[in-house]
Amino acid sequence: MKEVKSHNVGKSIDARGLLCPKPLILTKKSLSKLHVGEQMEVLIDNVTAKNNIERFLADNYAKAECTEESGTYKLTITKLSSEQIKEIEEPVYQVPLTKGKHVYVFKNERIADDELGNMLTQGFFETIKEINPLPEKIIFYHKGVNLVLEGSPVLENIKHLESLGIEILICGNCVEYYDVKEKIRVGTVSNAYDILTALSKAHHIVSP
Amino acid sequence: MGKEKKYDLLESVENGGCSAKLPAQKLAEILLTLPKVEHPALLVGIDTHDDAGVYKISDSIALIQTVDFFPPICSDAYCFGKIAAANALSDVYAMGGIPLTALNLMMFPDEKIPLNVFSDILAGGFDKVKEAGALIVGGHTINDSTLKYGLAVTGIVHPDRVITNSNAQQGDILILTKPLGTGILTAGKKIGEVSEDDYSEALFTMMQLNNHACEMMQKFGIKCATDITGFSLLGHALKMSLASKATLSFNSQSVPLLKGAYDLVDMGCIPGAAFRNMDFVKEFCLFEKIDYNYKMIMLDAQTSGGILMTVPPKYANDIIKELHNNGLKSAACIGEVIAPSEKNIIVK
Repeated sequence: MKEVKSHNVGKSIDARGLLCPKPLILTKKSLSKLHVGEQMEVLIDNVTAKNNIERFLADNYAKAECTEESGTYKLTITKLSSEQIKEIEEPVYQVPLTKGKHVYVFKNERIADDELGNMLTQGFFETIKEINPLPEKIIFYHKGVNLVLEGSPVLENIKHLESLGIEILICGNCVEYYDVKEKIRVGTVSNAYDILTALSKAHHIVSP
Repeated sequence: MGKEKKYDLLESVENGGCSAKLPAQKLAEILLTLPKVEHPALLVGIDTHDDAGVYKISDSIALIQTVDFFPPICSDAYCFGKIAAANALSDVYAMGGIPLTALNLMMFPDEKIPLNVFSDILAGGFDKVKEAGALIVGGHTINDSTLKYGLAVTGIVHPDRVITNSNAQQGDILILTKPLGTGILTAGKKIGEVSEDDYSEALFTMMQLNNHACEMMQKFGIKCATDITGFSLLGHALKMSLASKATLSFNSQSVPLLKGAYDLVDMGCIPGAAFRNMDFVKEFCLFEKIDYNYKMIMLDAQTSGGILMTVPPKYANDIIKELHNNGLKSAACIGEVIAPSEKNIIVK
């Protein structure tokens, strides 16, 4: 077994007759020595080992073409650059979303001043992520800043929206007025100039 | 090593331990074809894919029943017996219970393997069940081409104190009690790439009972847990997420690893079971830009792995401290339960 390992490091690997995970170990070792655009070949006769190598490559900056002849598979592997990999990356790992040019504005911590208002606010924040297209920015001012503070019932939702690439802007004067700078848990503290610019450039302003 | 040549169990198998499981999605499809079992006394059944069934027999006692068996995971017969027993008992602990009785299940190729191997395996199982405070009360043996051993275990728990995989609450911290990598180290051992010390450590964790983890959960009133075996950390976490309707977020850098596991994966020593588990979880998972090696370790099939529990943040430090004091030195906080999002599992 040890012999095979040292022989096969190069641009062509004969992994026939080897059990998992040996074929993958040999492939990985050779792949690490390739430059972007270079190719290598792997011969393999175990279909599970072949599948595992292909799955490994799909996650590791390489693509493989496979041909089969009487039970032997030949994998021709090309090392890719990180730019190339983005083009063929599986969509399952990406959140498929588009962003619009509209802006949401919250100037109160709830949509109306009763229990129903609380529920509506929560429901609203839970649903934003499903709206297509997503808003470009969400702006919080006056009592609305409470929504981005520690203890806010919708804090996790807003964090999630931020992770989707939506800009969360918080009114800096309001934060100072209420003296809550230490309690902010999501978003960017902004100023009147940036907030007004965002509002005037927005295609739509949504203020529930 | 004595003068007699010891029989090497690993020579008899290709896939040992919990990595010999059927793929999770195939199993899920098969289970769907079964009629739904419903009964007022059935507290935990098949539908949540939990670790064991739980049946209430009185206001103070519920019965926990589980069975587990697999081909050899290590060379030494006595050691294999201990690991198989620790693994079977673990399902009772994961439900918060105390094991009472166990039955041996043995599938043995009597023409291929010497019979003293048979008795050594049973001796290992016996000692581990004894350590757990339970009794072996019988068993069943058949002749089979590949050796397999395991146990059916019965335990009890108070019906109000059942711990399930369907109770993860937003804000809870995720704690894992044992390090990951038993599948990787076993594969590495077979190809001669693991140091003796690292391998002994892996065997030690596989033989370790999950009894102390269970005691801690009951002491702190924890309501949600599962044990980590063949479907890997992320596979079992996914079952927990689906059963609890919550999203679990993991910090890959915090996950405890067996020594040697990272380097093995880095050289490409990735067992096939890890790829199988990836197929099961990938459409439910969001992998943020994480190290590929960590991702595969989190998908490694574990044999007799640790307990994954969800705990209120205020108890997390105390529980970790107590786990460390009880011999679970790798126990760590590895993530949290967050608001439901479009993915069930997020790995950072």
